[in-house]
Amino acid sequence: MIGVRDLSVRFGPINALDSVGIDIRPGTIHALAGENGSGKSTLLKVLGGAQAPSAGTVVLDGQPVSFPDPARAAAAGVGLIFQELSLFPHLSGYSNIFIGHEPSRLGFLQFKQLNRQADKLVEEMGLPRPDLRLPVSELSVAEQQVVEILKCLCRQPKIILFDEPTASLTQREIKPVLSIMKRLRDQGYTVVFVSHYLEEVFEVADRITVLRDGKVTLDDDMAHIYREKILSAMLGRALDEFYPSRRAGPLAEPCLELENAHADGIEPLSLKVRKGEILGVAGAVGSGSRAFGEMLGGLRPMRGGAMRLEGRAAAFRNPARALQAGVAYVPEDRRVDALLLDLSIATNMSLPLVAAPKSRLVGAGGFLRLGQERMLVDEAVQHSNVKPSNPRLPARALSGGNQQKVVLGRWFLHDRPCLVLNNPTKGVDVGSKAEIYRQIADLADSGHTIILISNYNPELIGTADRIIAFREGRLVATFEKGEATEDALLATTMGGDGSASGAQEMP
Amino acid sequence: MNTQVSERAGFRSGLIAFLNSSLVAAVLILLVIAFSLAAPAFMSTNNVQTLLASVAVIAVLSVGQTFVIITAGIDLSQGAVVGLTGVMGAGAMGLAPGSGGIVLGIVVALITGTAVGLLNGVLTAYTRVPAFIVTLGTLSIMGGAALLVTGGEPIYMLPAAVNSFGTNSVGVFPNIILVSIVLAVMGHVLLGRTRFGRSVYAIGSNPRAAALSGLPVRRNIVTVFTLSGFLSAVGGLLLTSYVNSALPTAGQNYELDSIAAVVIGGGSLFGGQGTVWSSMLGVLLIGVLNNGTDLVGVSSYSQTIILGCVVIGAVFVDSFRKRVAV
Amino acid sequence: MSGDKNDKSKSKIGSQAFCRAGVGLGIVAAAALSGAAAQAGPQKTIEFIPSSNATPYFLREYAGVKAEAKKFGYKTAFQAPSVSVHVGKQIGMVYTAITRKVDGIILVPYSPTALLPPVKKAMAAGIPVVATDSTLTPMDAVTFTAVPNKKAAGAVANYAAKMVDGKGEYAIIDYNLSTTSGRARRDGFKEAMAKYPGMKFAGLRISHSIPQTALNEATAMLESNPKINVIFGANDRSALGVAEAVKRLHLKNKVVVVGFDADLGEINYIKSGYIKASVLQSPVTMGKTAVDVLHDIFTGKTKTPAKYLPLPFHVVTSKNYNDPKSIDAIQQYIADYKG
Repeated sequence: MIGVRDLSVRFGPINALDSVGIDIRPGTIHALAGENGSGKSTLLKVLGGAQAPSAGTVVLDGQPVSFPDPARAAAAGVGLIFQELSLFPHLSGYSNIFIGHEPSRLGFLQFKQLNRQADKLVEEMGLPRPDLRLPVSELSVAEQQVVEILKCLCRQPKIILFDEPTASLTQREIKPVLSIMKRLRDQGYTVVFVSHYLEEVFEVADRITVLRDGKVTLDDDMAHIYREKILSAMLGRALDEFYPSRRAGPLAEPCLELENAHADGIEPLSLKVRKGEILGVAGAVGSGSRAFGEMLGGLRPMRGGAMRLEGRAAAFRNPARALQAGVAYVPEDRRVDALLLDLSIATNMSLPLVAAPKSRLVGAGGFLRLGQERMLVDEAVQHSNVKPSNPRLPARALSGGNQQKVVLGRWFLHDRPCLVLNNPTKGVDVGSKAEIYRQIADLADSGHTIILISNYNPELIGTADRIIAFREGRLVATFEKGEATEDALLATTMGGDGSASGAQEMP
Repeated sequence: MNTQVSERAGFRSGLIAFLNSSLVAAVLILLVIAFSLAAPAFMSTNNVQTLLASVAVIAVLSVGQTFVIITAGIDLSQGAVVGLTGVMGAGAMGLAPGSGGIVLGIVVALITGTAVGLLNGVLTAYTRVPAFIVTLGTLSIMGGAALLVTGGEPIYMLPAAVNSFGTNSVGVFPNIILVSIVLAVMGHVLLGRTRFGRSVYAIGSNPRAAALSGLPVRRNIVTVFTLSGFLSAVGGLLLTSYVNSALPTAGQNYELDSIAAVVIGGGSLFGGQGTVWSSMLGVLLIGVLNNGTDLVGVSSYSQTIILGCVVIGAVFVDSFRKRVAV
Repeated sequence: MSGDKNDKSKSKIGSQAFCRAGVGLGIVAAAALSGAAAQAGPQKTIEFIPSSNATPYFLREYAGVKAEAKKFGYKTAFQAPSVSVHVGKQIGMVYTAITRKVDGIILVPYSPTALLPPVKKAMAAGIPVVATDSTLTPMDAVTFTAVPNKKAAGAVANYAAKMVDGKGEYAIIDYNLSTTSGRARRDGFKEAMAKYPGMKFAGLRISHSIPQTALNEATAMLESNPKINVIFGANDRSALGVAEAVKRLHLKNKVVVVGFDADLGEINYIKSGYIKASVLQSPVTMGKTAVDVLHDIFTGKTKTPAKYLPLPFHVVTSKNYNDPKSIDAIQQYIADYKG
């Protein structure tokens, strides 16, 4: 059994953890949940020896212990798997598994023995089998995760700590990881994991601890838990309305019309999206849902068919043309594709407006109207509820949720009739999620057309007026409001019985 | 009375904030004070003229280098362009008599530099060859071209007006530094107050995000390198008038000084950071260090060591600094 | 959490500004100690400003300057650009010397026109300037002391031409064409060769005083033109590279290498026959002569010194390198040379 007593971790004046005490029972899956900054990852790191406590103790099998570093924790039987995978991309799976622990004879590596040992582990655990001979950079993220787990297992731990094991996986890849966790538990391991997703907590956890501002706000067996209880423990308030209600429905006029439009990765499709409509786009990674968004945003050239925007023919060579015509694409990975991390919130927010031809922020000779920019940005920062609200701060200083608010806030400044959002709430904490859904609803209420691409079906069901589903590059189903269920969407996007209840096959 | 006190406090906190935000300025001021104490002649009109004239060419190059470095690029060809445009300009001046020749020389030099910059820009923006390699290539090509054009020999026969421009001053300011100042002010405004300047920062910070925001990324990269080429040509002309001759190899290693100046001023080789103003502080810092150490009798061997330490130290200290974001 | 970070970085800024300032002040303080001495007392200071601070020849010349200055009780200083092409830096150094109010300047101008304005300014400020090795344009701007470069290069050209019986092709690896000496040596060599109708000019390359460059250029020339049987390396660095090229191509008996100046490497090549002859100047004497000129001006012995003071030169060959006269000449370059 492992646990902590009166544990505190302070970073300067901030209490990341404040007198926390929990017990984790052997042979169970224990979930740690909470918003960003709640201290859940810090707690996990203390258990795994990656963070020294400021006060309090870690207790292992009734004895107080102290782990000055992860190696010492591993020696005591506690293995920690980080959120960012810590593999060497150019080395093979085998080499990664045994790195630092290579069995050797006279100092020479015993490759064959090493590989047999790994294969045995894979078999014993009934794990999915990635090709361990390849450099891990050639494996998928999910397969890399398996390598990471193997690496941990070969050090023979009793307790395995996962820091957000599914954060970087697609929905299709999450299932196997969850089943690995279950299998580990059934083999007698103790599993502790940090998660953002309630669904997976409900699926695998035996017990949950919820943290808020460094304190435990909920610690109970899953048998006594229901969804709202967790959310209110995370948020510290009752969750009256997670998904927003709409003030207005879609209008009659179409905004975006497609006729047999196709591109690399998407087969011809025809579709009308109305003004004020939120169109949900479901589909697993590689299904074409993302390609669809990129085609609309001008990142992926159309190979044929016709597109009309507000009645005018449109085919975009590049994002600049799409923007000019009225379609803005908000990419999935905001840190890599959307943000200027070292530049200020203000510059980030005003950028599309500054870039726009005939911009109201640009005067004669290309000179910027800096005063007006300041005013508009202040307004947008208030409106989007970005915290901290100082527009001079670099975007890097913001949390994931607030960074996303900045990215979305751009399109309040530079008003485009059609917004394509690719997984806008990915890696965003629960509180910010609710605010982002509210913003999306507000945009639609004011007559904007929203194309909401998501790998997270519950949010599509909660926010979209209509949901289309992609599989293998084809638009396979359309669900009107109220028709979609999580099961039906999953079935449609995963293949198998595509025509589940409520699903409407495309001609 | 009360307001006066608060005003003074405001001034003091303002000064502290300025020095904090601009460590280079603080160090520069301290160095100037220290050198003036160590060598009273440091602040004499003659010496200030010498100092300013010695940094005029690097200052102009640094303006261009600032733009390039903010886009996360680098222009290694600047020194070679200085040499090439110097001999091209000086050669063309000999083709026509009097002021007609001078104008012709200036035009030829500027066109040459701009063309090299355009080439750098197009290759960097439209091929997958990184700027470092592109400009390393043009550095070699243009260095060779300058030697080829002149057969290795310097050009001495320059119109008298050229050298008198290069050696005369307005008050404490040599003519050539006035050119640099004007260009630096224009560069500062262009970078800080125009859409183009904003694009430069955005592209350097995240080219993908810039493209998704509707900016013509490649075109702006071409413009930035072209600007650097143009300014290198101006540098070539200034150097020619200052040394009263055009040597094909005259600009050798100047690009290293301009990169050092930008970096000392806080420009980041990863892009998105830097201003023309702070690069000029970097230029002055280099100039003051060189001139001051000369004056107090530090050997030229030690000088390069000191400069190297300052470059590394500046970037090291800068990595801790909380910046004011653009 | 972010508030905490801010606090930390703020206090860091303060201490770093202080540290940085500390470093700066340290440099200045150290410099001031050495500088203060230079300005104290009525002792006269002579500053030597060659075109490069890493050329052995100039370091030997400075040895001559120092030795002679010591005799008269003068102080000396040495400043030079690290890269000789940085003529702008050399200009700045002359101006700085004027600001420092030195009493005399010995100069090796990299460019005859570029250094003219600062030299004029120095003389207007009452600081006499002596040009050594290379001079300014117009020639009569200052007192100039050097070997007659043209004549010296001609002497070695004659020696080479005679060795090949006046028949063949010759190439020149010059160190630069910016200095008057670099051009005079080329002109002298070519003019002397012109007297042999059988000798054809095969081309000139620049080494920038880098032996590796000279080696590459010479190799390329010899490989592309097998008719070349004479190569002139116009200074020590150039001759060194040329000899190396001949050695690597095994052309010792086919190609006559002649040089200018000497260092230990060059002397060894002369001994082993890869270099057949080299014209030796007298760097130490050059430095001494320049100081003598300044001394005469300081003491009022002369108001208008001669415009040109020629220095003797000596051709050392693979046959005469052990003569006492040759050993004397080599000692101008290598102080402890014994033969």
